[in-house]
Amino acid sequence: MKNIVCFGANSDIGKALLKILAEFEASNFFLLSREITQLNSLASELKLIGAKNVEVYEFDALKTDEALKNLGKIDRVDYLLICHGYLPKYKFFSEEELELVFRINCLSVIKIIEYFIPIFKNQKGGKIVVITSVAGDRGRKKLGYYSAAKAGVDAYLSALRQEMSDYRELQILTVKPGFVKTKMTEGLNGPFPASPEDVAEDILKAMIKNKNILYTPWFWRFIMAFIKIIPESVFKRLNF
Amino acid sequence: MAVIESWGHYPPVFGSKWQYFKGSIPKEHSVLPFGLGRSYGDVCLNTRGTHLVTSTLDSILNLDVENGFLTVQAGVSIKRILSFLSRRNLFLPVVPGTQYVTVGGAIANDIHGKSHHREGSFGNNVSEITLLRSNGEIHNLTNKDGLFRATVGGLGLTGLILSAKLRVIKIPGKTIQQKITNVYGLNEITQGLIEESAAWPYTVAWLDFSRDTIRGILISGAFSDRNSRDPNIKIKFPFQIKIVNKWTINALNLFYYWVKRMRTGNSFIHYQNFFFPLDSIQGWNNAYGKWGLMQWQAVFPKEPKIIECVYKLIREFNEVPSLVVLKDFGDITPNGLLSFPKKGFTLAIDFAVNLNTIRLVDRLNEFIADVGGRIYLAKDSRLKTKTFSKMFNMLDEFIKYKDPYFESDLWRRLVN
Repeated sequence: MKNIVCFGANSDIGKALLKILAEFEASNFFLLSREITQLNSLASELKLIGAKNVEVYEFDALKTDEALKNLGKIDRVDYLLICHGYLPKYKFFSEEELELVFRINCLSVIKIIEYFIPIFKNQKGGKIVVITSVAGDRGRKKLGYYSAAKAGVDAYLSALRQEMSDYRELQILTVKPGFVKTKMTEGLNGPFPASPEDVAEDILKAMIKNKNILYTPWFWRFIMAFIKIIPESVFKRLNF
Repeated sequence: MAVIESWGHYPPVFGSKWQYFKGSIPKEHSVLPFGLGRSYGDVCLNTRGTHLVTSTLDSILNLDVENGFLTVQAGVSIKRILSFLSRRNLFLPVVPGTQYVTVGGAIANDIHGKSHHREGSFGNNVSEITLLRSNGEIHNLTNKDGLFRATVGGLGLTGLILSAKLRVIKIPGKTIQQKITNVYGLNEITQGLIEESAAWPYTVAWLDFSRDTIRGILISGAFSDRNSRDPNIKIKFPFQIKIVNKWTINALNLFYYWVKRMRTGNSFIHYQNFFFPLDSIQGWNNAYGKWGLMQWQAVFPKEPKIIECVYKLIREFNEVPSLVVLKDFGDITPNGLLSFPKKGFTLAIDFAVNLNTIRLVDRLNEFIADVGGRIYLAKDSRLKTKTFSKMFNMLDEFIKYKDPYFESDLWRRLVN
């Protein structure tokens, strides 16, 4: 029986992932999100699918410390899922947005992980799943702040992976989805849109296979590999 | 010995604590005795607490040939007991499908074997158990005690079994005379199995679910006075690489069917090859990859229609099970409160774990609950609280005997 803690449980990818995990194994769920009423209906659905116990907590990524304090003591955390994110409307030159993007997408994620690290060390294993983005691989002019924040998390996770390499049974999974049709990307037209359910199934597979980095859907690995090798002198002239 | 895992690799576990059992029960965490880890599901796991590895209880204490009793400590494996006994032309009345289980595990899961219609389950052939409770008391139990009935099939939750006195039987030699019959269609299979069970002490049916009509092989056997050398061909499968899929399963079923079919009739075979065919491939569970396998086993009334329904359900989900075994349970009532065996047919089916088979097993569990059957807890990892209490009606009595410091993941899933 697993204890699963999910931040941003109301995000579309988070919801799909939780449903699939509830089906995969009877577990205890600790759900955190800003919208507590929607969280309650998700909780009852998870119980119906097969969750053993579901607890819901309020969580605002801008007040991460408070949420962590409210969460109180959890004796064991098997899976830590971090699914919240924020996609800004403006790409540059807005101090307000800059602050929001970094606090939600980057600072709160790192704070949450640091809070749970002692628990993972103590139990000598577990799985940390963080949803970042392919946008973090290389910044583009449409997504300046967002790319920067996600790249920050990517770099942090790879550093953490190295630091925690002695704990052989601790998996730190960076999930890099391509364009997924969710609430966050509403109204946007991205290339090769995927559904949250497909992404969730890929994440479960990667969790079982103990992967480090997951591009989902799979072809994004090759797209991003190509984009990454374009020399900067060429890249700066490209328009996409 | 350092890996705490269930044989099926499902549910996945990591970072489990364990320690050797050294005479007393630690009380910082909840504990669960752990033998050789051959249970398929989460019955042998206690991820919140610690596991007490019983390999320290490894001596054979006493053999009483006259009355036919063997006293052993709980950590001794069936393999050791059988090689010890068979040299003296003795044997255990009930042996499971693998020899890598401990006596403690065999009692705690009240295992059964190919001889159930004659000898009942393992617990029917245990006359005494020494049990250590978490409060330090040591109980010497006989089969009239309530605690004995709770400990047999008690999933290791009533305390730690220190030793047990087992009944042994005389055998003429190490070799088994086996008879192989190939059968076609469900009625022929079930009818044949019932007839063979009346005539032979060991029977089992292997079924092929990969085709439109079920076909099968009946294997029956009895000990003969011939002797043969112990087999020592061992294949190792050390890496978790998934090679079990629809194509390999179909090929394997076809291959197994024709190999057995060519050997139709009577032949002689060493007992290890007869009882434990899969033991010759060490780590065969690794062939299911990281996702692992689930074995689903249920007992239900002797109606071929139920097997038909199970078969149809599996087809509906578009799955091909890698192994299907049918066995006829006799009417010997088991000793345990939570024992699995009861009169009827028992069907054991192996699945590679994925989201589809998980849904399938959930459906099968509900179906079995509806027809008044029961699921084998040693292999289960999907049962729900509601269906569980429907299947095991002695649960309330069992709870009275449960030790408060002993916990398992299965217990947390089903009761707490």
